[in-house]
This record gives sequence, C-alpha cells and structure tokens, in this order.
Amino acid sequence: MLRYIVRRVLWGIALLFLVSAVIFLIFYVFPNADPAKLRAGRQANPALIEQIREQLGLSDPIWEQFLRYMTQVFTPFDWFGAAEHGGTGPLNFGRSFQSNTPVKEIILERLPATALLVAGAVVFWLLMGLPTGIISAVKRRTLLDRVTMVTSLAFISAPVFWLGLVALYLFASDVGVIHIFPGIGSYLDAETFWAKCWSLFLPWLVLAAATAAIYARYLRSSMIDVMSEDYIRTARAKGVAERNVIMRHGVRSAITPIVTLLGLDIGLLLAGNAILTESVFNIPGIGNEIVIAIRRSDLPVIQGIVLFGAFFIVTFNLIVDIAYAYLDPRVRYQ
Amino acid sequence: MEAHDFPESAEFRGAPGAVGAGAELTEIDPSKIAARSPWQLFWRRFREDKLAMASLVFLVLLVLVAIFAAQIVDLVGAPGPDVEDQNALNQTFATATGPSSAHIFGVDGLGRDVFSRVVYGARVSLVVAFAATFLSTVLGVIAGLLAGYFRGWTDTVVSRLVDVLLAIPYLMLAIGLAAACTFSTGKSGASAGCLGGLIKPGLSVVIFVIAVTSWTYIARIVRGQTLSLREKEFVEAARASGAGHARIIFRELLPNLTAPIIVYASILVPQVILYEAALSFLGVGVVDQPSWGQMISDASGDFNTYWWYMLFPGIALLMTVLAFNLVGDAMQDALNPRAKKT
Amino acid sequence: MRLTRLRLLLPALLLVALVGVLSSCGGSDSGTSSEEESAGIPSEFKAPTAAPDNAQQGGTLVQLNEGDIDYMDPGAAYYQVTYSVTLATQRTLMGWPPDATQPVPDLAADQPEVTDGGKTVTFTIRDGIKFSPPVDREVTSEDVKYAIERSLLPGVPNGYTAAYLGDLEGFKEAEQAVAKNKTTAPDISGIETPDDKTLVLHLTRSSSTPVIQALSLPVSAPVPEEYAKKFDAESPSTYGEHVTFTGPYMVENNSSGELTGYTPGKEIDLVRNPNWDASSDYRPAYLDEIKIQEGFADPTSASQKILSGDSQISGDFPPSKTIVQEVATGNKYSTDQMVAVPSGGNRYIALNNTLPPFGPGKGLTAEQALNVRKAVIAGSDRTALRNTRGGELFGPVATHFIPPLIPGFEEAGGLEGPNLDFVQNPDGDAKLSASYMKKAGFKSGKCEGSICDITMVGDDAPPGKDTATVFQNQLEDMGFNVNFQPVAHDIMYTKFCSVPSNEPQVCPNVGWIKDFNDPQSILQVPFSGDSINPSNNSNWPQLDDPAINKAIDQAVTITDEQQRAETWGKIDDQIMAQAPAVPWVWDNDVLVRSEDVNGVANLFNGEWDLAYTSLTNP
Repeated sequence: MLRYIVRRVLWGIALLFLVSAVIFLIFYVFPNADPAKLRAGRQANPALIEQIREQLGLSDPIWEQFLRYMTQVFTPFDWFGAAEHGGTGPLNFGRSFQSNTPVKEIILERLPATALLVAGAVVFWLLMGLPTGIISAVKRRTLLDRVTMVTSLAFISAPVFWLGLVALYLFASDVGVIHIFPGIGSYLDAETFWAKCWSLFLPWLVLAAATAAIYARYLRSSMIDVMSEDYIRTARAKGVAERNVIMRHGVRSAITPIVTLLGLDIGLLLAGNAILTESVFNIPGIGNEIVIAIRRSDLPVIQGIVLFGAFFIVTFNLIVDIAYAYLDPRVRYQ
Repeated sequence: MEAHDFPESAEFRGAPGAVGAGAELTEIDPSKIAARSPWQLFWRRFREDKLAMASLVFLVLLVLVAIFAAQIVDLVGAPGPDVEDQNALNQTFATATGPSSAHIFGVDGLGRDVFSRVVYGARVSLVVAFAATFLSTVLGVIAGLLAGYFRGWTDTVVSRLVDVLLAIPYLMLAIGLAAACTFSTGKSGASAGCLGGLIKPGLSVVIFVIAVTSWTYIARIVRGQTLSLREKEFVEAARASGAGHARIIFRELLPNLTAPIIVYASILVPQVILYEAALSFLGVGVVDQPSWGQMISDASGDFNTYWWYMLFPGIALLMTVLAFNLVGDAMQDALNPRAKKT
Repeated sequence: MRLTRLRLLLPALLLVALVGVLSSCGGSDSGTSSEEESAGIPSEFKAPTAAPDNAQQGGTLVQLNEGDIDYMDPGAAYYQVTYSVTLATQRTLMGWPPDATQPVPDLAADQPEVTDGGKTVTFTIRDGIKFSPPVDREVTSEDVKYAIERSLLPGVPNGYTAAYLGDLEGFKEAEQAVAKNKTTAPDISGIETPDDKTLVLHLTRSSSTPVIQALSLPVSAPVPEEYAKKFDAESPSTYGEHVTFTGPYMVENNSSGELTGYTPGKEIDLVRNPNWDASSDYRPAYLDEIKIQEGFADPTSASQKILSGDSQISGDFPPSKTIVQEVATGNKYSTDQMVAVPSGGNRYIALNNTLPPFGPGKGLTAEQALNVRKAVIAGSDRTALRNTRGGELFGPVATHFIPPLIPGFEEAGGLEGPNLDFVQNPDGDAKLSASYMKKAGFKSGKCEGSICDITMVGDDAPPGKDTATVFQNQLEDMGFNVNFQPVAHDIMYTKFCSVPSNEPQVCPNVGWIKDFNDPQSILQVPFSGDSINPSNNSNWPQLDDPAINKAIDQAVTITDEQQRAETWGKIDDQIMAQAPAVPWVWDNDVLVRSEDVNGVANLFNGEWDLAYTSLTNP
C-alpha cells in the first residue's frame, strides 16, 4: 500500500512539472503579445519597456526562463537567476502585469469565494441528486422514474450560464419577476459569512442543478446494477426489510463510484471550472479572475492560476486513487 | 458543461428501451422467425424509444433548417441576421424592442432580428458539433487503438499524455489556447493563427480547441475496449495465421469497435455543443457569425429587460442538446440491451 | 487625452436642439458657451455644478468603478477617472472648480504673470500649503519644478509633458540628459525658482496660453524631491505607492508614507488630509471619507445598485441604455438621480492613411485614397454608430473634431459642421459614397479587388464591440472585405492601434478627450504629423499633411483668445477636408447617484467631484 502511495505521489509531482511545461509553452511560445509592453502599460516609452524586459529576464532563452519559473514556484533556492528576476520562491508565481500584485496574493484572495461556491454546490447536488437517483432506481420504469430522468436530462442539456440568467430573471431580488434571492454582484456587497452564503444561494442551485442530474442518473444505473446482484436477493430472502435492503446493502455498494466522481468534480471546480457560474453572477472567484486575466494577456496571473488549478486536480485525483486502492486491493497491483 | 468530466464508464442508462420481462409466451409461427443482422436489431431496439425517435426527427429538421436558413428567414419575412434595423430600436434610447409583427422574436441591441440569428445560429452549433466531434473521435481512436494494441511504451506515453491533459482545467486550456491563437502577432492585426496559419480565429480555432481537449474521452474507452478485444480468440487466430499489425487492427479490431465508437461519439456531440456555447459566452468562440452562446452572452448585461434575446437562443440550445442526449442514450441502450439496466 | 472605453453618452435631444437653433435664428454666441445651447442636454438631466447651500459635512461616500485608475502617481495620471482622485487629493498650480470653463489658480496664489510677449510665465506659490503626513512640510516652488522634471523619467510614464511643456527652455537638453541617466530627474534650465514662493518659466516661443492650461493637469502637483528621489530611482518609479498629497483628501497611508489605502484593482480609500488648510482652498470638502470600489464588471447591475442604494455614485462606467430608459421613463427611480455632462471629447473611427486603400499604394494614388476615405465617411451611417452607445440622447452626431463647449467649436461649423458634402448626412448617403468611389477609380461605385481586403482591430466588449460590428457591416456594404479582430481594450492600443508599424487599416474605437479647454488639446496630438510616435502613437489616422502640421505649429503660439478660436476652428475644417477619420459623436458622460447624495459634477473631467459632493443625511 505504501509503495502504491509513494508511486502515485511521485507521478503526481512529475505530472505537475509536465503540466507547467505545457502551460508555459502555450502562453509563452505561441506568438503572443509582448509581456514587457503589457507590463509597461499605457503611455510607455521604449526606455521603460527595455528596463522592464531586463527586470523580468525576458531576453533570456526560453528554457532558462522556464526553469527559473519552476524554481520560483517549487523551491526556495536562487537558481537560474531567480532572486534577480522576480525573487525566490516557493510559491512565487510572479506579479500581475496589470496591478503588480503578487499572483499568489491574488489567488489566495479569490480562492475563498470559489471554495464557498463549490462547497455549497456540493451540498446541494448531493442533497438533490442522491435521493432522486435512489428513488428512481427503486421505482424504475414507472412514470415517476421516466419523468425524473427526462427532467434530469433537461437540466444536463441546458447551458449552465443560461440557467443562471433564467434563474436571475425569475428570482433575483432586484430585477426578477419574484423577488427572493440576491442578484448579481451581491457577493461583493455581503459583509458577514451568512450574508455571503445567502448571496450564493442562486449560484449554488444553478451550479448544482446539472451535476445533481448527472449524479442522479449515475446512481440510478449503479443501483439497478447492484440491486440485481445475488446477495441482494439473498438479503430479501432472509427477510430483511425492504428499506434496509435498499439503504444498507444497495446504496452502500452503489455509492462507491459516486465517491470517486465527487472527488474528481470537486477538484475540477476548485481548479476554476466554475468559470461560467462566477461570470454570470459576478462572483470574485478564481474562474472570474482568469477570464479577466486572459482578456488582458496578464500572463503571470494566467499561468499561476492554471498551475494552481492543476495542483488541485492532481491532488484530488491522488486522494481518490488512494481511497480507491484502499477499498479495492486489486487496484494496487496494476 | 462545468459540472462533469467524462467518466470512463459513463453509461447513461436513462431511457429504458428494451422490451420488459413478463411478456406472455404465445404460439410462434416458425416461418415468421427470420434472422436479423446486428444493425437491424440495433435499429429495432432504438425505435422502441419514442422520445428518442421524436428527437431524431427534431434533429433532422434542425439540420434542414441550418442548411436552408436563408430560405426560411425569407419565408417568415425577417431580414438577414446582420441587418441592423435602426427603425426597430426605440427612437429615443436606441434600446432593443421585443417581439413584434416585423420581428417575431424581437431584435437585439443593434437592431438585428433575433429569429434570423437563431436560425443561422443553428449552423454554427451543428458545424462545430459534427466537426469537433469527428476530429476528436479520430484523434481518440488513433490514440486509444495504438495504446491498447501495442501496450508497453506506446501505452505509457499515451496514458501519461492523457493524464497531463486532464490535469489542466479544460475550459481554461480552451480559453487560453483560443486567446493564444487569436493574439498571434500577425501584420497589422491580421492574426497569424496557430499551426502556421491553419487555425484562424473563429470557427477553426473553436473546433481545434475543442478537439484537442476532448479526445481523451474516446481514447480511454477505445483503449479499454482494445485491451480486452486483443485477447479474444479471433485475434489470436489472425495472428497465428501470420497477419501483420495493420491487418489485425483494421480487419479484426476496428470493425468490432465501430459500434461503441459511434455510440460514444454520439454522447460526445451534445457535450461539444455546450462546450462551444460556453466558449462563445466567454467571448472566445465564434465571433463573426451568429452563435447561440454568443447571443446569450450579448443578452447577459440586460437580460431582465431584453428577455427575448436571452430566451430564444437558450431554448434552441436546450432543445438541441436534449435531443442529442436522448438519441445518444437510446443508441447506448440499443447497443447493450442485455445490460442489466432496467 | 485618449478616451477610456467607459465614456457614456447622454441623451441629448439633438434634433430638437438643431431645430430650435435653426428656427430661432439666434444661434449661440461663440466663445461663451452655455450648456443648454450647444450640447442640448435636457434640463432634467443637467448636472449640478455647485453644492446646495445647506450642504452637510460628514459621512462616507462609495464610488463604484469597473476598472482601476491608471496611475496613482500624479506625474503619470492621464485618465478622466484618475482625475477624480487627483482633483480631490492634489493641488495643482491651476485647478478646476466644478463649473469652471477656464482654469483657476489653486496652488498658485493668483493668475500667473505673462510677460515678454508670451515667453515668460511667472507663478507665485500660495502660503501655508503643506504636504500630507509623513512629509509634513510646506510646499515650495522647488517642489513644482521637481514634479515637472521627474515626468521626463522613463520610470514615470507621462503622456503629455513633451507635447505641452516641450517649449520650455532646456527641455531638449533635459530629454538627452535623462536618456543617459535614467534614474535621476534631469534639470530643465527653463524652470527657475528664484525663491521658495516664485516659479518662473522661460519658453522658447510665445506658447504661454497652452502652457498655463497644461499646468492645470496633475503633472504640476508638487512632489518633494528629498522624499521621492529614492522611489524615482527605481524603474518603473515606485512613487505611486508612496504619494504625498496637498488636497483636502489623501489616500490612507502608514507612517513611512506607504499607501495602505490603495489596493490596485480593488479599492482606494480616501480620508481627510490633516494638513489641509481649508481657508486657502476653494474646495468645500464635505465628506469625511470616500471609498472607491473597483471590479464592478456589469454596468447594469452596478447602476441598479447605486440607484436603489445609499450613498453611492458611479465612477468610470456609464449606465447601460436600458437603465437610462428606465430612469428617464420608468417610475422606480427619480429622474434627477441621473445627470449628463458633456465629456469635452469626440469619438471617431481612424482610417490608416498610410495603408491602401485608405492611403497610397497597390496602384492607388494619394488622390484616389483621399476619395476612398471621403466615400467611406459619406457612406457611413453615423447615427447608427452613435446608437450603439445609446441613441439620440447620448450626444450629437459629430461632423468635425472640436467638441461643443470648447472654443473653436462654432468657428469650425458648430453642430452642422464644415461645408463639406461628405459629412452633411449623418445617416449616410449611398449615392454620394458611390460617386466618390468612382472618382477613386472603382467604376462600380463600390470597392473592387484585393485592395478591399482590410483588417479592423477593435474592442472585444460592448459598447465598443457593437460600434465596430456595425461599422464592419457598413464597410461591407461599400464593397470592403473586413476581417474584424476583437481584442481587449488595452491590447488594442498597446499592440495594434498605437503602434504605427502594426496598425491595421481601421481602428474603430478611438477618440480624444480635451486635455484642457483649448482646441489645441483636441487637435494637436491626434492630428499633427509631428506627434506621430513609433511606439505610443495617438495620431491614429497617421495624418501627416505638411500644411496642417505647419498651421498647428503656428497656432500654438497665438495668445489672443478670439484669434485662437478662429484659427483652430479653421484647422479643424482643414483636417476634416482630408477625411482622415470618421467622426461619429461628441459624447456626453452620464452619471448616476443614490437618492441621498447631493452630487456635484465637474465639467473638467465629466465625473462627480469628490470635493464638492455631499450626503443629505451624513
């Protein structure tokens, strides 16, 4: 088991390195706007641009810039001229071209909003999706099941940003048809934790809707598989109450793949896949930040956030893999 | 689109298609029993799902609408999708007006007819859906086949590549790639695009970006299937009779993979449509042609007043994706009727 | 000054105004322009430019901004929105009370003395003005001298010193000195400080009028050399993180002068400056604190927040068209919560005069290219372009470049414009356009051939994107094949439109706001061939007509007001006759406020004036 964990962790680290290289390639090598000019900003003169080019070490060969960046992100050492061009690390992602704020600060500042959005959404989609899946499985092929499954499919088929706009149109307290939930930008206003939660209510529902639907369908099919296994029949034959058969035997087995999925989904969302929801509701999270950064070609921010996101994905993948290996010994020996 | 990555064994078994147990046993006339080909069986099972059939009809109609967009728009009497009708705007505030006799779905902020744009928008959605899915499938099949058949180093390389790609949040990768290809320094703003000018901003960037970030889905499935297929007897027999790798891949493996490839590709299509809509919404999708995602994005600033140009493109997207989903579901059920799903 | 993308146009009943002017046969008298006459803003939206008599002291005001100011360093600040901060926190030699049409002495004790036929300008610095903590000492003339000199440093990216103060004696030598020593502010020999309270400027020619006007810009805000030197030695200068203030308000800072109240991209916190002397200042400064919050990306929801909330005002964004409609016609908000101020600027579509088909080349002569440009202007529906920002009410359709209220406007033709046929019809004249195309050699009346393949780089966000899209359609109707590249606003400038070697054929989202109330500040930088700059160019059409260049150069030195207005008015028409660009609006700034705010707008930068605005119940 230990060897498995060690192997997976080592691969995780290697993966992060490779991912950084790919990202670096995309944003630096693909012909792009001149970073020195971007950093210099408006009204810049050639002398200033040159000085900034020096400062950022942009005249150095690409591989040196890349290794310097890696050093600054992962280590505290002064290799490849780290201290001279941007400072030593670790976790030094450079400074934003736009505001000169350290990227690390930007990320840490915006992370709580995304985290809160994701946390709430997770709660909602589990609350909505799991019971639906179980009930549909138990009452399969009835009208209820069919209606539920098609409705779920509808939620999966609607673009999440559109759902957000429709939800706001119907329910936003300032402009909606029925004034209930706080509208766009209310997160920025909210002072207390509870006010923030309230302002995220609609975003939670919207973000959770499609995922709940997917989980419902997944759990349903998983349950149906499980419920036709022999040991379920045995349990029934032994006289175990139907409710216990479903909950204690059925759901317990059926839920394992859901747990895997949950881990992966959380990782993905924290990495910034909540971009669309954040954009529609104007929530100052990581996804929103990267949209702004990309439009302004703010390379350090873009790179930093994507790398950070990759870190989340790799970590959550790792956790899920290890948990799975713990539960299913066969996996360890692959 | 953000809710989910493609799980490896995504078998969305939503639509119960097979005939249920409990049918009565009746007398059967031997002459009526005829052997049916796998495709006929497939189609028969598919047909039983009424919703999927309705969806199929809808999709065929949609394709026709996309092809004959100009004629349909003329028929209804609406102006073209790019005509900015200044008279349709409120004369004092230059704001958009809603459904009226001249514009049945209203106009957008620039005075362009929404109905017209929705109709033409079908083109973008469908073209991207099919092209990106096709490209993605081709890439995925090649990668999956090679990895699953040759195993060893090839498999390691491909699997690691998949891991790397999956580690990057795909929307960000897509936006970044699209932005990079758009910003390529060309002379006087003419973008040089990516891959030496092959990929230009607009439709081709979107197709390219989507394909590059979604081939992993099919690749994983094909790899899994290939791994199990290569151990089967017919493959061993072919090898024993001296067939080369190419022969085995093309004559033995590929035909057996066709069905699952088609099914999983059809599951990919609706995801691709949503993906394109998301990219357009974020501003890195198709810009020079009307696109449903772009229209919703345009509407997002004033949706509470201009509900019509948020609503109609959204419904169009919803119905199209739903139709594709229902069809994909039914195809999957038709492929595995004995899977213990109902 | 270059426009930010967030200029909002106000509803101006252009046609009513036009009809009114024509039918009354009165016309307005040139020179003294009053708002109602030239800009046609309806009275219910006219912005108050004075505080009410019973204005209350105290309270905290919140200003919502979409983006950030450009620079906190007054030596580099150049955005209208940044001026909101500088007008309230810095005392410049000459200043702008909200209703002023000419600059008024602020740091200067009196109007400056102009002698030597306009070649020497002498200022006396007021007594008793101190820098904010931690600098704490009294301001001297040396501080103004240093402020001007440091703006030549590459680390202080000032956009206008060379243009307006370049006539100072010793300026060229100073520029050469700083090219060698990039971290020490050079000495400009033409700025003399015979004593602590006297500042004498020696000019090489009689350009005192624009020089005095230019000293109303933030560059003349005093900077203590002993304090700022170490920051200016860095590149870029870090003085912007340690600014010291002389106005009624200051950005919150700590004991070493570091600005703790400024988080770029997020918030600016203005508090009272303890060293400010109210008795020597025309500013009343009612508020106790002002918070500027940034990041409000959606103007509709931000405007709604302001309109239905408390103690808030809009900053750098205009309300969207729907909000304007709602306030004007709905009953949710009261109409006086929305006001309009002429921005003193124009917007136009720049046609690159150096590339075919808008310039000579590929078989096209200069004469033919001129006809193509005229054809494009004639064929453009400029009303439709204006409508992308918000309709009749957002400013009159432009017919030349000097905007209303600026001297020279009437002389250049006023609302109707010069006597040139291709600008007569704001809705576009297809026949006239075709006839010009034919004169250019295109027999069909539309553009033909590969010369018609052009690129346009514009804004990727509304309303700029909408304007570009509409124009693209209009060009295509004229036979052009347009490749439209939307990019982020800043990139549009820094990479494409402001770099002459990389500029596309069309830059649709450009414009210019007056730097001060003189036509020179509208025409010189954007249209003189002498101001074309290889890396940060603001003459987007790249117009380089020797006759115009000479006329501009000579007009700079005119000291008589009336003569200036007439001469620059003629130059405007001369420029227009070359059809370098398509002017489409003289826009108005629309501002919104909460009910409990007694907002006062400043005509200089078209924004709420933080030093005059107050709350009804602080």
